Amino acid sequence: MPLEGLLRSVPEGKILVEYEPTRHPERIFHTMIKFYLDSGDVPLVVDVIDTLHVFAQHLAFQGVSLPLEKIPVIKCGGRVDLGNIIGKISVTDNFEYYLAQHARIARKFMKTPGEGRRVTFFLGTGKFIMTFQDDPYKLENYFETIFRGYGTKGDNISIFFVNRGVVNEHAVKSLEQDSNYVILVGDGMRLLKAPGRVKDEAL
Amino acid sequence: MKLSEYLKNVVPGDMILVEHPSISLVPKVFHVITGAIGRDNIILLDILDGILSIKKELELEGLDVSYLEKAPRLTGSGRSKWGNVIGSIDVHSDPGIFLSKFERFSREYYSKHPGVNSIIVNPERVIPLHGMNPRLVLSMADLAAVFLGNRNRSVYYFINHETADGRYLCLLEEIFTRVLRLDGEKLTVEKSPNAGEEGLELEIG
Repeated sequence: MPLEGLLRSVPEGKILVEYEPTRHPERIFHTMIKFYLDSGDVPLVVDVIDTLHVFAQHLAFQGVSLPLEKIPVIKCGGRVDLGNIIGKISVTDNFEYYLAQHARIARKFMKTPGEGRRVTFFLGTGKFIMTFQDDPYKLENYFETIFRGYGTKGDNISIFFVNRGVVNEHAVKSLEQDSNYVILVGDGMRLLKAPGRVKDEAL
Repeated sequence: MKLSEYLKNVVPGDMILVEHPSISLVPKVFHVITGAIGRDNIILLDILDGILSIKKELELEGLDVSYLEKAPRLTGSGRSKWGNVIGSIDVHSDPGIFLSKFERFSREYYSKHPGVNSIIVNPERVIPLHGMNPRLVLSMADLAAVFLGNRNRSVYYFINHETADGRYLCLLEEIFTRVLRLDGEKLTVEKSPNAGEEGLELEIG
Protein backbone atom coordinates (compact mmCIF):
# COMPACT_ATOMS: atom_id res chain seq x y z
CA MET A 1 0.00 0.00 0.00
CA PRO A 2 1.42 3.45 -0.79
CA LEU A 3 1.84 5.74 2.21
CA GLU A 4 -0.62 8.30 0.81
CA GLY A 5 -3.21 5.53 0.50
CA LEU A 6 -2.75 4.69 4.16
CA LEU A 7 -3.00 8.36 5.21
CA ARG A 8 -6.20 8.75 3.18
CA SER A 9 -7.68 5.80 5.08
CA VAL A 10 -6.89 7.22 8.55
CA PRO A 11 -9.86 9.28 9.81
CA GLU A 12 -8.41 9.94 13.27
CA GLY A 13 -6.27 8.31 15.93
CA LYS A 14 -2.66 7.90 16.88
CA ILE A 15 0.12 6.97 14.46
CA LEU A 16 3.52 5.83 15.74
CA VAL A 17 6.47 6.21 13.36
CA GLU A 18 9.46 4.26 14.68
CA TYR A 19 12.74 4.67 12.88
CA GLU A 20 16.14 3.04 12.98
CA PRO A 21 18.67 5.75 13.88
CA THR A 22 20.56 5.71 10.56
CA ARG A 23 17.42 5.69 8.38
CA HIS A 24 15.48 8.61 6.90
CA PRO A 25 12.41 9.61 8.95
CA GLU A 26 12.63 13.09 7.41
CA ARG A 27 11.33 11.70 4.11
CA ILE A 28 8.12 10.26 5.60
CA PHE A 29 7.68 13.45 7.65
CA HIS A 30 7.89 15.51 4.45
CA THR A 31 5.37 13.25 2.68
CA MET A 32 2.97 13.46 5.62
CA ILE A 33 3.20 17.26 6.02
CA LYS A 34 2.61 17.70 2.29
CA PHE A 35 -0.31 15.26 2.34
CA TYR A 36 -2.12 17.01 5.19
CA LEU A 37 -1.48 20.53 3.88
CA ASP A 38 -2.73 19.50 0.44
CA SER A 39 -5.83 17.95 2.03
CA GLY A 40 -6.67 21.22 3.80
CA ASP A 41 -5.84 19.84 7.24
CA VAL A 42 -4.00 21.83 9.87
CA PRO A 43 -0.65 20.47 11.07
CA LEU A 44 0.99 21.44 14.37
CA VAL A 45 4.50 20.34 15.28
CA VAL A 46 5.75 19.73 18.81
CA ASP A 47 9.50 19.92 18.27
CA VAL A 48 11.55 18.22 20.99
CA ILE A 49 15.18 19.42 21.17
CA ASP A 50 15.67 20.59 17.57
CA THR A 51 14.41 17.47 15.77
CA LEU A 52 12.60 19.66 13.22
CA HIS A 53 15.90 21.39 12.46
CA VAL A 54 17.62 18.01 11.95
CA PHE A 55 14.83 16.82 9.63
CA ALA A 56 14.82 20.10 7.67
CA GLN A 57 18.61 20.03 7.24
CA HIS A 58 18.61 16.40 6.07
CA LEU A 59 15.93 17.29 3.53
CA ALA A 60 17.99 20.31 2.42
CA PHE A 61 21.01 18.04 1.82
CA GLN A 62 18.70 15.96 -0.40
CA GLY A 63 17.51 19.08 -2.23
CA VAL A 64 14.03 19.12 -0.67
CA SER A 65 12.52 22.01 1.28
CA LEU A 66 9.74 22.03 3.89
CA PRO A 67 6.94 24.66 3.77
CA LEU A 68 8.06 25.82 7.23
CA GLU A 69 6.18 29.11 7.19
CA LYS A 70 2.92 27.18 7.08
CA ILE A 71 3.71 25.04 10.12
CA PRO A 72 2.88 26.21 13.66
CA VAL A 73 5.49 24.88 16.08
CA ILE A 74 5.63 24.39 19.84
CA LYS A 75 9.31 24.24 20.83
CA CYS A 76 9.99 21.73 23.55
CA GLY A 77 13.59 22.35 24.64
CA GLY A 78 16.29 22.87 22.02
CA ARG A 79 17.67 26.07 20.57
CA VAL A 80 17.07 26.27 16.83
CA ASP A 81 13.82 28.13 16.14
CA LEU A 82 12.19 26.91 12.96
CA GLY A 83 8.68 27.24 11.58
CA ASN A 84 6.02 29.53 13.02
CA ILE A 85 6.80 29.29 16.75
CA ILE A 86 3.60 29.65 18.77
CA GLY A 87 5.06 28.78 22.16
CA LYS A 88 7.80 27.08 24.13
CA ILE A 89 7.80 24.35 26.79
CA SER A 90 10.78 22.81 28.55
CA VAL A 91 11.55 19.09 28.50
CA THR A 92 10.23 17.99 31.86
CA ASP A 93 9.11 14.99 33.85
CA ASN A 94 6.47 17.14 35.56
CA PHE A 95 3.68 15.93 33.28
CA GLU A 96 0.88 18.03 34.77
CA TYR A 97 2.96 21.15 34.15
CA TYR A 98 3.69 19.99 30.61
CA LEU A 99 0.00 19.40 29.90
CA ALA A 100 -1.01 22.78 31.28
CA GLN A 101 1.62 24.54 29.13
CA HIS A 102 0.68 22.55 26.07
CA ALA A 103 -3.03 23.30 26.53
CA ARG A 104 -2.34 27.02 27.07
CA ILE A 105 -0.31 27.27 23.85
CA ALA A 106 -2.42 24.96 21.71
CA ARG A 107 -5.61 26.82 22.67
CA LYS A 108 -4.63 29.56 20.19
CA PHE A 109 -4.59 26.85 17.67
CA MET A 110 -8.00 25.31 18.35
CA LYS A 111 -9.92 24.15 15.34
CA THR A 112 -12.60 26.47 14.05
CA PRO A 113 -15.67 24.97 12.38
CA GLY A 114 -15.18 24.33 8.69
CA GLU A 115 -11.45 23.89 9.02
CA GLY A 116 -9.74 20.63 8.19
CA ARG A 117 -8.54 18.13 10.74
CA ARG A 118 -5.95 19.05 13.27
CA VAL A 119 -2.83 16.93 12.99
CA THR A 120 -0.23 17.05 15.76
CA PHE A 121 3.27 15.85 14.93
CA PHE A 122 5.36 15.04 17.97
CA LEU A 123 8.99 14.98 16.79
CA GLY A 124 11.67 13.59 19.12
CA THR A 125 9.42 11.44 21.31
CA GLY A 126 12.46 9.35 22.27
CA LYS A 127 14.36 12.39 23.53
CA PHE A 128 11.39 13.41 25.66
CA ILE A 129 11.04 9.94 27.19
CA MET A 130 14.78 9.34 27.59
CA THR A 131 15.17 11.52 30.68
CA PHE A 132 12.77 9.44 32.81
CA GLN A 133 12.46 6.07 31.05
CA ASP A 134 14.53 4.19 33.61
CA ASP A 135 12.10 5.15 36.36
CA PRO A 136 9.17 2.70 35.94
CA TYR A 137 6.73 4.89 37.87
CA LYS A 138 7.47 7.98 35.78
CA LEU A 139 7.37 6.05 32.53
CA GLU A 140 3.96 4.57 33.31
CA ASN A 141 2.77 7.94 34.54
CA TYR A 142 3.86 9.51 31.22
CA PHE A 143 1.65 7.10 29.30
CA GLU A 144 -1.24 7.74 31.64
CA THR A 145 -0.92 11.51 31.77
CA ILE A 146 0.34 12.48 28.34
CA PHE A 147 0.53 9.79 25.70
CA ARG A 148 -2.94 8.26 25.93
CA GLY A 149 -4.49 11.71 26.18
CA TYR A 150 -3.33 12.81 22.73
CA GLY A 151 -6.13 12.49 20.25
CA THR A 152 -8.85 12.85 22.85
CA LYS A 153 -8.82 16.60 23.33
CA GLY A 154 -9.47 18.10 19.95
CA ASP A 155 -6.53 16.57 18.11
CA ASN A 156 -7.95 14.55 15.30
CA ILE A 157 -4.71 12.81 14.45
CA SER A 158 -1.48 12.65 16.43
CA ILE A 159 1.70 11.30 14.92
CA PHE A 160 4.65 10.38 17.13
CA PHE A 161 8.15 10.03 15.70
CA VAL A 162 10.51 7.94 17.82
CA ASN A 163 14.16 7.01 17.30
CA ARG A 164 14.17 3.35 18.35
CA GLY A 165 17.76 3.52 19.49
CA VAL A 166 17.20 5.97 22.33
CA VAL A 167 14.25 4.43 24.16
CA ASN A 168 14.25 1.14 26.02
CA GLU A 169 12.26 -1.90 24.95
CA HIS A 170 9.54 -1.37 27.54
CA ALA A 171 8.93 2.17 26.32
CA VAL A 172 8.79 1.07 22.65
CA LYS A 173 6.31 -1.70 23.46
CA SER A 174 4.12 0.70 25.46
CA LEU A 175 4.15 3.23 22.61
CA GLU A 176 3.17 0.47 20.17
CA GLN A 177 0.33 -0.83 22.33
CA ASP A 178 -1.29 2.58 22.70
CA SER A 179 -0.97 3.55 19.02
CA ASN A 180 -3.66 2.73 16.47
CA TYR A 181 -1.20 2.60 13.59
CA VAL A 182 2.48 1.65 13.78
CA ILE A 183 4.93 2.33 10.95
CA LEU A 184 8.55 1.18 11.03
CA VAL A 185 11.13 3.05 8.98
CA GLY A 186 14.12 0.78 8.39
CA ASP A 187 15.48 -0.24 4.99
CA GLY A 188 12.12 0.60 3.46
CA MET A 189 8.90 1.36 5.28
CA ARG A 190 6.51 -1.15 6.85
CA LEU A 191 3.05 -0.89 8.38
CA LEU A 192 3.19 -3.10 11.49
CA LYS A 193 -0.27 -2.44 12.84
CA ALA A 194 -3.58 -0.85 11.82
CA PRO A 195 -7.07 -1.25 13.29
CA GLY A 196 -8.10 -4.88 12.73
CA ARG A 197 -4.77 -6.02 11.35
CA VAL A 198 -1.39 -7.05 12.70
CA LYS A 199 0.12 -8.58 9.59
CA ASP A 200 2.94 -6.30 8.50
CA GLU A 201 2.97 -4.89 5.01
CA ALA A 202 5.41 -2.82 2.94
CA LEU A 203 4.45 0.83 2.45
CA MET B 1 35.14 2.44 -4.16
CA LYS B 2 38.04 3.86 -2.17
CA LEU B 3 37.32 5.86 0.98
CA SER B 4 39.31 8.79 -0.41
CA GLU B 5 37.13 8.76 -3.54
CA TYR B 6 33.93 8.56 -1.50
CA LEU B 7 35.00 11.63 0.47
CA LYS B 8 34.97 13.68 -2.74
CA ASN B 9 31.14 13.66 -2.40
CA VAL B 10 31.31 15.43 0.95
CA VAL B 11 30.10 19.04 0.79
CA PRO B 12 30.66 21.88 3.29
CA GLY B 13 28.29 21.42 6.21
CA ASP B 14 28.36 17.63 6.01
CA MET B 15 28.74 15.73 9.28
CA ILE B 16 30.47 12.36 9.05
CA LEU B 17 30.26 9.81 11.84
CA VAL B 18 32.85 7.03 11.86
CA GLU B 19 31.86 4.16 14.14
CA HIS B 20 34.55 1.66 15.08
CA PRO B 21 35.08 -1.22 17.53
CA SER B 22 37.92 -1.33 20.09
CA ILE B 23 40.07 -3.63 17.95
CA SER B 24 40.09 -1.81 14.66
CA LEU B 25 41.92 -0.08 11.86
CA VAL B 26 40.67 3.31 13.01
CA PRO B 27 44.17 4.91 12.88
CA LYS B 28 44.42 3.96 9.22
CA VAL B 29 40.94 5.33 8.50
CA PHE B 30 41.84 8.52 10.36
CA HIS B 31 45.02 8.87 8.27
CA VAL B 32 43.21 8.28 4.97
CA ILE B 33 40.49 10.78 5.90
CA THR B 34 42.94 13.54 6.85
CA GLY B 35 44.90 12.84 3.66
CA ALA B 36 41.77 13.15 1.53
CA ILE B 37 40.36 16.31 3.12
CA GLY B 38 43.64 18.21 3.38
CA ARG B 39 45.99 17.84 6.34
CA ASP B 40 46.70 21.57 6.49
CA ASN B 41 43.04 22.42 6.91
CA ILE B 42 41.98 20.55 10.03
CA ILE B 43 41.33 21.37 13.67
CA LEU B 44 41.66 18.61 16.23
CA LEU B 45 39.11 18.64 19.04
CA ASP B 46 40.89 16.09 21.17
CA ILE B 47 38.74 14.76 24.00
CA LEU B 48 40.60 13.04 26.86
CA ASP B 49 43.69 12.36 24.70
CA GLY B 50 41.77 10.18 22.26
CA ILE B 51 44.09 11.09 19.37
CA LEU B 52 47.20 10.02 21.29
CA SER B 53 46.83 6.30 20.61
CA ILE B 54 45.92 6.94 16.96
CA LYS B 55 49.06 9.04 16.53
CA LYS B 56 51.24 6.44 18.27
CA GLU B 57 49.90 3.62 16.11
CA LEU B 58 50.51 5.58 12.92
CA GLU B 59 54.09 6.27 14.09
CA LEU B 60 54.61 2.57 14.82
CA GLU B 61 53.47 1.86 11.27
CA GLY B 62 56.23 4.17 10.12
CA LEU B 63 53.93 6.87 8.76
CA ASP B 64 54.68 10.57 8.78
CA VAL B 65 52.42 12.21 11.37
CA SER B 66 54.13 15.59 11.53
CA TYR B 67 50.85 17.10 10.31
CA LEU B 68 49.28 16.14 13.64
CA GLU B 69 51.97 18.07 15.49
CA LYS B 70 51.30 21.14 13.36
CA ALA B 71 47.49 21.07 13.35
CA PRO B 72 45.71 23.34 15.83
CA ARG B 73 44.54 21.21 18.74
CA LEU B 74 41.90 22.06 21.31
CA THR B 75 42.06 19.66 24.22
CA GLY B 76 39.08 18.53 26.25
CA SER B 77 40.96 17.68 29.46
CA GLY B 78 43.50 14.84 29.09
CA ARG B 79 47.12 14.92 30.31
CA SER B 80 49.32 14.97 27.19
CA LYS B 81 50.94 18.17 25.97
CA TRP B 82 51.94 17.31 22.40
CA GLY B 83 51.21 19.33 19.30
CA ASN B 84 49.96 22.83 18.68
CA VAL B 85 47.58 23.31 21.61
CA ILE B 86 45.47 26.42 21.05
CA GLY B 87 43.15 26.00 24.00
CA SER B 88 41.85 23.68 26.63
CA ILE B 89 38.43 22.98 28.10
CA ASP B 90 37.87 21.04 31.31
CA VAL B 91 35.32 18.31 30.58
CA HIS B 92 35.22 17.36 34.27
CA SER B 93 33.60 20.69 35.07
CA ASP B 94 29.88 21.43 35.08
CA PRO B 95 28.41 20.27 31.72
CA GLY B 96 26.49 23.51 31.25
CA ILE B 97 29.81 25.36 31.39
CA PHE B 98 32.06 23.14 29.30
CA LEU B 99 29.43 22.60 26.60
CA SER B 100 28.88 26.32 26.16
CA LYS B 101 32.67 26.83 26.03
CA PHE B 102 32.90 24.22 23.25
CA GLU B 103 30.07 25.89 21.41
CA ARG B 104 31.56 29.38 21.67
CA PHE B 105 35.01 28.16 20.64
CA SER B 106 33.64 26.23 17.65
CA ARG B 107 31.42 29.07 16.47
CA GLU B 108 34.31 31.57 16.55
CA TYR B 109 36.82 29.20 15.00
CA TYR B 110 34.54 28.19 12.13
CA SER B 111 33.64 31.77 11.29
CA LYS B 112 37.34 32.74 11.19
CA HIS B 113 38.36 29.63 9.21
CA PRO B 114 35.55 28.96 6.76
CA GLY B 115 35.92 25.62 4.97
CA VAL B 116 37.83 23.98 7.85
CA ASN B 117 37.38 20.31 8.74
CA SER B 118 37.04 19.58 12.43
CA ILE B 119 37.93 16.19 13.85
CA ILE B 120 36.50 15.00 17.15
CA VAL B 121 37.74 11.76 18.64
CA ASN B 122 35.85 9.78 21.29
CA PRO B 123 33.57 12.46 22.78
CA GLU B 124 31.52 9.56 24.23
CA ARG B 125 34.13 9.22 26.99
CA VAL B 126 32.79 12.36 28.64
CA ILE B 127 29.45 10.71 29.46
CA PRO B 128 30.67 8.26 32.14
CA LEU B 129 32.52 11.15 33.82
CA HIS B 130 29.11 12.59 34.55
CA GLY B 131 27.37 9.41 35.68
CA MET B 132 25.72 8.58 32.32
CA ASN B 133 23.31 11.45 32.92
CA PRO B 134 20.61 11.35 30.19
CA ARG B 135 20.33 15.15 30.18
CA LEU B 136 24.05 15.41 29.39
CA VAL B 137 23.57 12.86 26.59
CA LEU B 138 20.79 15.03 25.15
CA SER B 139 22.84 18.24 25.50
CA MET B 140 25.92 16.71 23.85
CA ALA B 141 23.83 15.41 20.97
CA ASP B 142 22.06 18.75 20.63
CA LEU B 143 25.41 20.55 20.47
CA ALA B 144 26.13 18.50 17.34
CA ALA B 145 22.61 19.13 16.01
CA VAL B 146 22.82 22.90 16.40
CA PHE B 147 25.83 22.98 14.03
CA LEU B 148 24.12 20.80 11.41
CA GLY B 149 23.81 22.88 8.27
CA ASN B 150 26.63 25.26 9.22
CA ARG B 151 28.35 25.44 5.83
CA ASN B 152 31.50 26.98 7.28
CA ARG B 153 32.87 23.59 8.14
CA SER B 154 32.57 19.83 7.84
CA VAL B 155 32.97 17.64 10.89
CA TYR B 156 34.25 14.11 11.46
CA TYR B 157 33.40 12.28 14.68
CA PHE B 158 35.11 9.03 15.66
CA ILE B 159 33.06 6.97 18.13
CA ASN B 160 33.74 3.55 19.60
CA HIS B 161 30.41 1.79 19.16
CA GLU B 162 31.37 -0.91 21.63
CA THR B 163 32.00 1.42 24.57
CA ALA B 164 29.77 4.40 23.73
CA ASP B 165 26.45 4.99 25.45
CA GLY B 166 23.93 3.50 23.02
CA ARG B 167 21.52 6.42 23.34
CA TYR B 168 24.25 8.93 22.46
CA LEU B 169 25.35 6.85 19.47
CA CYS B 170 21.78 6.55 18.16
CA LEU B 171 21.12 10.27 18.57
CA LEU B 172 24.29 11.06 16.62
CA GLU B 173 23.30 8.59 13.91
CA GLU B 174 20.04 10.49 13.52
CA ILE B 175 21.77 13.89 13.38
CA PHE B 176 24.76 13.14 11.11
CA THR B 177 24.44 13.31 7.33
CA ARG B 178 26.79 10.37 6.77
CA VAL B 179 27.55 7.31 8.92
CA LEU B 180 30.47 4.99 8.17
CA ARG B 181 30.89 1.77 10.13
CA LEU B 182 34.21 0.02 10.50
CA ASP B 183 34.21 -3.69 11.29
CA GLY B 184 37.42 -5.66 10.92
CA GLU B 185 38.75 -4.61 7.53
CA LYS B 186 35.28 -3.73 6.27
CA LEU B 187 34.16 -0.10 6.08
CA THR B 188 30.49 0.31 5.12
CA VAL B 189 28.43 3.40 4.29
CA GLU B 190 25.45 3.03 6.64
CA LYS B 191 23.86 6.39 5.93
CA SER B 192 24.19 8.99 3.23
CA PRO B 193 22.02 11.78 1.75
CA ASN B 194 22.24 9.86 -1.56
CA ALA B 195 20.36 6.59 -1.22
CA GLY B 196 22.57 5.02 -3.91
CA GLU B 197 25.62 5.23 -1.64
CA GLU B 198 24.06 3.37 1.28
CA GLY B 199 25.41 -0.14 1.77
CA LEU B 200 28.54 0.63 -0.26
CA GLU B 201 31.67 -1.08 0.97
CA LEU B 202 34.69 1.19 0.93
CA GLU B 203 38.30 0.25 0.54
CA ILE B 204 40.45 1.88 3.23
CA GLY B 205 42.70 3.81 0.91
